[in-house]
Amino acid sequence: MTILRSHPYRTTSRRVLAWCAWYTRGLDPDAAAMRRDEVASDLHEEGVWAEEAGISPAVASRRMLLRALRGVPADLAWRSGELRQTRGAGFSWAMTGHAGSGLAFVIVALGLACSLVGVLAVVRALLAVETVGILLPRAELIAVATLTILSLLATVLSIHPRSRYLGAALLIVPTAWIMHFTLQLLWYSSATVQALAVRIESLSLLVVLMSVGLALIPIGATLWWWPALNHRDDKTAQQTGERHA
Amino acid sequence: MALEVNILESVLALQSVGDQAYGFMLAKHIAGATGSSTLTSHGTLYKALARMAAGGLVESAWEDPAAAELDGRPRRRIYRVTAEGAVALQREQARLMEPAEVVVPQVRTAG
Repeated sequence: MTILRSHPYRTTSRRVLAWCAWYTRGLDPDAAAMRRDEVASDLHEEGVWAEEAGISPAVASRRMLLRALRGVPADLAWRSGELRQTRGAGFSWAMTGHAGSGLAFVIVALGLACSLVGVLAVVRALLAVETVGILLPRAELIAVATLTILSLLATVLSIHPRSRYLGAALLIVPTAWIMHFTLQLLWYSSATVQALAVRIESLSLLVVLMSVGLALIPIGATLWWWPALNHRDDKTAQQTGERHA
Repeated sequence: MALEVNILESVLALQSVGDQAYGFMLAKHIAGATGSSTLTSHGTLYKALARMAAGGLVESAWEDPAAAELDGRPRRRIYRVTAEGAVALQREQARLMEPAEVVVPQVRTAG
């Protein structure tokens, strides 16, 4: 069996090309395609060379992977330089590339934050039931647990570009309700929440305003990424086609 | 600058014997010339080549896709050293040949 058809080589090639696709995302399509083609050619040539040199597929693949790993800082530095050029090239590129990935980061961070808040609130309530012996606020507990699961699901969906519009849409519900139900749940078990409710007269209004404000972020992201409303990719493809024509 | 010099020297060396100077071939040639047991990483090599192309030291062209397809491999990006690159290499080689300046530490005497 040749190295090029071996399992280790193919797995390594796939990983290196996946990394290459990741760090070239959102860049100028020509620059990104050239880098990907160049790395693909390099991987192939290294496989052929290893074959001729009598190197085993496992050793050749390990060397290729290490070679790619050593270049990670340079890959990221190159990406950073390309993004700087892209930003200078115009508003449209900045919005589809850099701002797009920035928005994805915000949505993932928001999803993780909602999940963390939910988990902490549920754990705190369950501990209070066990240690202090208060009655379990079942409805609030179920609401917070459900919102936490929704947040986690939304976070996972938001990671992949193809499903991130679904993730953002799903995140609207937890961001709008998690604060309300968390306060309701902790009201029974947390002295801090009770003190807050006493000190801040307009706590309910504040929670509503903050919830609406937070929910606007996934609403905006959903509209931005929703396929039927999103023609930026078509325009990009068109531009690329024109350049190659 | 050392990598840039190595790249320019390797491209010229490959060109002089009629070989194509493409990414992997350059990494292999540089490793042979410098006695290194490892190949220059993808990231370092292609970032340097992109910088050198932008600076006008090298130029590149993709080979004919039909030729690559005939050989059953991805097409190669072939690099050539420009006139500007050749001059820059000569200048750098001359600078490296110059004896290093000896720096004499200045000791202040008390009093």
